[in-house]
Amino acid sequence: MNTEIREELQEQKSTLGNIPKHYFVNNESIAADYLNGLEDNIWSKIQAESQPKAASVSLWERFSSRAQLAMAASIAFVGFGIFTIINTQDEFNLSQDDMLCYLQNEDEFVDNIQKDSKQYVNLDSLTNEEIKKYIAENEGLDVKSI
Amino acid sequence: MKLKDDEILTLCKSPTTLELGLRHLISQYKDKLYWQIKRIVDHHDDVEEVMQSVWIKVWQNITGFKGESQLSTWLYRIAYNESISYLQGRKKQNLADWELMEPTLDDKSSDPLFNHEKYDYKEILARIDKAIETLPSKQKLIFHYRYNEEMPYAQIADVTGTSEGALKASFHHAVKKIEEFIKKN
Repeated sequence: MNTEIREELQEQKSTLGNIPKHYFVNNESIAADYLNGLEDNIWSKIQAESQPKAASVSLWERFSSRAQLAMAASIAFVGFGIFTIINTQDEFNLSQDDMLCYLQNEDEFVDNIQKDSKQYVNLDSLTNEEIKKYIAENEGLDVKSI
Repeated sequence: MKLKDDEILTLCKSPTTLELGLRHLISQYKDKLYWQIKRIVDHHDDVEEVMQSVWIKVWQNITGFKGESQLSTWLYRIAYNESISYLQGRKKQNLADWELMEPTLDDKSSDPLFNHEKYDYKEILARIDKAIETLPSKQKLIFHYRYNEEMPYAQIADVTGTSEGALKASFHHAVKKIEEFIKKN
């Protein structure tokens, strides 16, 4: 036993300081083959640990390059379609200023509107007699009492 | 053939001799580490599990070992940390419980590797043996480091992260308790 430890034990007047060194392993034995075969056992575990683990292949990598190309083209096509629809819808969402500008510049359209408006009769310019005559002829009413 | 620590380290540093180096390392320290771990996790099946993770850790880190401490201290520290992590991971008991845990001698009968026939020891050794078993777990481990392994307090402090003063006090109390147990019985 280490003299330092023996002296420490003897200072305490311990029995341990007065008996030959004994390795106390709490009265237990272990399976002899466990420690005997430990080097092989551990080395096989280490080898298993050092084996490269199966690489995980992503879903994207599993597709062939042609399939990838087709997928990319499909996505582009769908994207273009959505883009077109959105832009088309925007044309109908004109502001009032845009519409006014359009009408002012469309001569043909304005002319037609003006022709239509000429068909309407200005009631203020009619006399009472003319109105009564119109009603009597078209509606069959007795207008003498009016 | 028994090699010195530095010779084992030289073997372990080279990939071509790593296996040979590790086999020597395991061969020389397996008993000591086994008993150290057993002082903490108690049951043989648990010791096996911890032993395995200890040696895997050693294999993973041996090339980076710079020799700042003794090889044995480094190994004991890995074994100590792995044992404590094992206890915490299993949530069998937290660390504070383990340090103060009083032993239950009857529990040993559940261990299939407990050898009852070894009670043929000389009377005094048997009594001391029983007395050691009555120590709380951490005190028992410190007694094991100091008496069985004859480790200096500085080395035990390095392994366990406990101050030298606390270790001296713990060993002193352990020896006192053993003496009292022998006198009582």
